[in-house]
Amino acid sequence: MDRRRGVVALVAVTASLAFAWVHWLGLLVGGVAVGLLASSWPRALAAGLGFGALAWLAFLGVLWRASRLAAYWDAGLLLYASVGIPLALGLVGALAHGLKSDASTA
Amino acid sequence: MDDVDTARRGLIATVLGGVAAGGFLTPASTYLDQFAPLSGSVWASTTDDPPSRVDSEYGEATLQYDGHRVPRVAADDEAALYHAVGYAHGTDRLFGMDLQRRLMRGQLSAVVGEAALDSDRFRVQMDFARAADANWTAMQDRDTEVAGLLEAYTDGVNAAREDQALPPEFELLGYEPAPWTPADTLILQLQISWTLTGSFESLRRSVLEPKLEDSFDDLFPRRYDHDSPILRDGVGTTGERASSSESRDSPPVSSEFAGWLSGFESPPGIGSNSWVVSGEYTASGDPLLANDPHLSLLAPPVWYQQHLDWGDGWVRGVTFPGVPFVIIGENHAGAWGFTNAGVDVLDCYTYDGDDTGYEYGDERREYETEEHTIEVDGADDVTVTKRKTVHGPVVEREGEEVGVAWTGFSATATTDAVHAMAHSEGIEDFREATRDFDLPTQCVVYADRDGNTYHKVTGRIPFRYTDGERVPGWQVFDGSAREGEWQGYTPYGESTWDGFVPFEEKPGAVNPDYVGTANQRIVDDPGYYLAESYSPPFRGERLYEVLDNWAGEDGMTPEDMRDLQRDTVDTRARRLVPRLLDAADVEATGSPFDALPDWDYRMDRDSDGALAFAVFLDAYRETLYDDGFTDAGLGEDYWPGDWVTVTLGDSAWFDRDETPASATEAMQTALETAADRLADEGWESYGEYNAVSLEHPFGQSFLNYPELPTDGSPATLNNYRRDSDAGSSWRMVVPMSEDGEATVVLPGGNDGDPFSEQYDDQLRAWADGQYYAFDREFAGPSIEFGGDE
Repeated sequence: MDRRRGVVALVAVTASLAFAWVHWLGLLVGGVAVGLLASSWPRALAAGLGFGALAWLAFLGVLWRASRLAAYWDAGLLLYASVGIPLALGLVGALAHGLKSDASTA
Repeated sequence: MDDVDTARRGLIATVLGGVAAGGFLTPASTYLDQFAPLSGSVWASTTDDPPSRVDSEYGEATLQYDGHRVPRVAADDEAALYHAVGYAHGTDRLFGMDLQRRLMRGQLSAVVGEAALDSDRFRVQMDFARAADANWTAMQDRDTEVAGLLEAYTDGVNAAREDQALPPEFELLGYEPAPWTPADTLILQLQISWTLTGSFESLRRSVLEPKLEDSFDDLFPRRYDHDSPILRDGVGTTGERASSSESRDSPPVSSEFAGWLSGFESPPGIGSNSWVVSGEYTASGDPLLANDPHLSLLAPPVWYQQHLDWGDGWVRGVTFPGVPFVIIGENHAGAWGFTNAGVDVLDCYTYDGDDTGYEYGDERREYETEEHTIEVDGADDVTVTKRKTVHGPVVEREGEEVGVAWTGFSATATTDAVHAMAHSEGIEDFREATRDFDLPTQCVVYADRDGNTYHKVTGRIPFRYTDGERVPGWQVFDGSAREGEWQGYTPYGESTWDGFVPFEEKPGAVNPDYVGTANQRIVDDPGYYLAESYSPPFRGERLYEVLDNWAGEDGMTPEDMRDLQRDTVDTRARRLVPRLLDAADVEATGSPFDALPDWDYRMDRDSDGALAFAVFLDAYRETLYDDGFTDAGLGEDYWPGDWVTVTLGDSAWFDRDETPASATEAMQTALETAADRLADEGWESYGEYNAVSLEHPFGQSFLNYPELPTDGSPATLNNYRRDSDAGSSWRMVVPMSEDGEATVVLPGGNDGDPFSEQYDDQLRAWADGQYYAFDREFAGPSIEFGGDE
């Protein structure tokens, strides 16, 4: 990834995270962004999952700051949903890689 | 671009668009809106910080939390103070408050569906909401100061509700709470009063007597044979001895109807311990006071701890979230606590009549009726017709009905009394405040820093009249014949209480040496009908046994009082185990039953004897009652209490075909059953059997408290009833000496937010019998109020 694409990716991920802070659609948009910027399908899918994981880590930071982390680990279905949602939306969003004209390039 | 590319892009675009649209338009949208990390409403509700400053038209106030989420609220003006208290309750406990008012208003079905419809039907027919409205109207006329404080509190709750994200439970259930009102606070007071005094025992007994015939008196004695009433040594009052007018040949209602009504009483185990010891018997020379009310144990707890400071006075203790004033606690002058008195303040009436009216003496009266619609989530609305007679509401189910008179249907001055107690300057002030404590009937104990001690039965207690004669309330009255009339009582209005027991004639003691109250009989001979029955004396007799013992030694200390609250001696076992040892070979039954001969009767978590006794007692109850009551068409809810279970000897009960031939045979059978059950369940210690597993009303596992072993039993001072999750809901030991450390603990935490570290931070200490200092350092988050006058 060249420097220019790296900057674009950083801006896109930051903006998507900011969007995700106010609406879940930001998780999908983030996946779309990293998928479009990826150079191959494997990288796109990995980036989509990575974006979802990043969003979840940011979420853990929010919980930690609010002293809510300990109870979160015992939240059962809520915990699983909050892990699954960003990974799934990031991954689905990364399918946008296929919208590119060179998407079939490995 | 070839066709394959076009198709691929079209497919991917469709997938992406479909996922996005599905996220908005399908049921998945709810989950995404609630649980998506960062934006999910459930997470926002728990990570949302209260503001550091809140505009208040009531003036300056400061609210600051300690490390256990206990707030200290300080203000020079009381309205400003209680506005901030309302803000604290609205911040920390809004869901529980809303749930309780919905319960009492009959509005639970609207959010949880048909499962709550029975409860809603009952409470709508009882019309607790109208009683709360009548109370609010009367309060505004009677005491504008307290009414004003209640309005300030209400505004504070609503300010928190509007300022902050709603608690997670609202997000999960998908509804928003209505604004809080003063009547909501008063209906919560009715909720706790109903829990403590709402009893259909007369109906149950009327069903039991003809079915049990000559066994009835053995199984349901009116009076337990013990020598540990609360007020001993002939302390009593004068009055007219009551006579019975009981004359029915058949029960007035079916066992099904009586059982249905009884389902709306409090669960088994509701009671309390409290005692006060005068300075003559303490090491410091100043009084000691202890209280632990036994209520339903929930996640979060029923109580909310708060410390209030209004410049020239302070009070600290616990209240029910939704009620502004400290109910149990201490102030600058003294300390107080409550136990349930068990006094009979509810009567049931039957009528001759039809759908529109009823006979009342020589006249016919129309029911006062009103149609009420119950909203049901996920089902059609249900219409209930509310009916009233001169006595109060008529409760109907499947064609059977009774009229109900209860002191709680009338406006009361209890709120004024609780406020006045917080401001009391000593025993005289406190006694005056106690006069206004109309509901519920309680045993209050008090000590002040001048060395005074006090005990008194609170609450309005009716005399019942039939044909001008006083009659006891242990019967179902013929309302049409004007039996069991209460004088000076106006349901859903203001009562004069003229025909009730005068304050001076209610049991009590000024400056007693020591008084121990544990829901046992209050006094041997009050001189008038006081209660249908009392709790068995297991805790009361143990309490006096220890206090009497300590009174003869060195002075008692706060640590002694804490030890007494933690006492695990079970006097049920002291009665039953020797009988079991005579009846059966426990050694041959193996562990843990072979520990019984040398057991000290302490229900400690690591005690083999405690485990053996607890499992045996469960089996013994079943052996004694299951077949016999089933044959009589009566369910487990009708079984006798533990006093009868552990003392039942020769009785006609054993002459029945379906019952054991004798208590001895029952014990032998029960011992075998207990051994089998122990093997099946795999309990290896009493702590495993006696695990505290407290649940949130919502029923989601992540909202529940962790399971912990604990000591005690339903019959020990260290009180926990595993079958109904009831027990010590707040433990408090308060010395009146300046250098004595007051200590308290809650069974859970003060914060209602299930993700908060203070949601259950006191639970382990409570389960282990530990305490926290009442004195706190308030260095946590703070909120300043004011600036909008």
